[in-house]
Amino acid sequence: MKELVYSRVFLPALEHHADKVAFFDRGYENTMAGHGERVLRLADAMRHELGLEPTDRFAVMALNSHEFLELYHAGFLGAGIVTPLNLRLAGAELQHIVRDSGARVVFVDAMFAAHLVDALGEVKDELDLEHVVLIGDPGADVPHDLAYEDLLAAGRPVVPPEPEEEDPVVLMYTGGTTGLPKGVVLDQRSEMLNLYHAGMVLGLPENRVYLHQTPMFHAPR
Amino acid sequence: MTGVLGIPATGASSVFIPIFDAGGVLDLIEGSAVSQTVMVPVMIRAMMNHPDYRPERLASLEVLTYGASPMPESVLTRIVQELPWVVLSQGYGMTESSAVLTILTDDDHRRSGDRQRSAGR
Repeated sequence: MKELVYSRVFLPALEHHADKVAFFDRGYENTMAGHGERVLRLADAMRHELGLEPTDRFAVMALNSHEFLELYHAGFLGAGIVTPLNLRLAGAELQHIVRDSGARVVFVDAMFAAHLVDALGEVKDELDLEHVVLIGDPGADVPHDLAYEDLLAAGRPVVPPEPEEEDPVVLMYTGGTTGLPKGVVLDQRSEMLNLYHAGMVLGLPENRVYLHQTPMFHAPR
Repeated sequence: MTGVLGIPATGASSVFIPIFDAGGVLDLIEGSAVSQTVMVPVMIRAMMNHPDYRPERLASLEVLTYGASPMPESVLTRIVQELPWVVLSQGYGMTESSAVLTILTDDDHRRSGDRQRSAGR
């Protein structure tokens, strides 16, 4: 089934509100159409430049930003399964999650690149990791092998094949008091149903202006 | 996933702050006419205790969702008294339920009795 999949609501919104400036991230502003083009380029580059299959995992460790949102949206369009990393994790937990998830790519911003790459370097033979993509300033003196904007520029703005409702889309690790974090698999249907339920209670009018201030790695909100 | 998925899918606007900072949040809510956000109780308390906080700076705020930890009654009382135009919603859930299980609605918050102190309905 392909009814309760994010592309069914996201792609029409990009078209319907194409010219609306709807993304504000410090100096960055973009329209719905502009955001959509970046997300499609990203998804295409993840497939063809990084070789990610829809069932592959990619991890993200970053402060709140429009890039983080783009990565979620690319994942929801089928570019891969997003594995957000809690910003407070210590090295051993990061190693565990990247190893356990089998993530092939991590996206990281300058704030966390050194911490993450150092931690992963200690266990690199145990990981499936192939690429570290740096979000933000490509001139930052931190370890990485690809810059996010260069990756984006290499992609074409084409819509990827539509996911199925049962397709996993988020692999969220939930910290336990009893041991290492455990991965929770969330599929398109569960995310869409939760979205509709929240919308029934809170409404989702198009004139809302939403501030992302709780950490985006903890997307359930 | 309201902020990540729902907002862009309805053509609503997204504003970002890299990491919480009470003064920065006040500036953004006022400056960008923010109408919806999610905060944990400790963030709300920090914002309302900030020297630059004045209720009218939050005039654009329509929906405030909170959760993730217990809400002190004193903070809830301040929100209800100082920001009466804000629709309050409390989300309770867990990662495994992706993630909201139950929501305490604005009506629930304004009823008498212990309802305000419930986690979810």
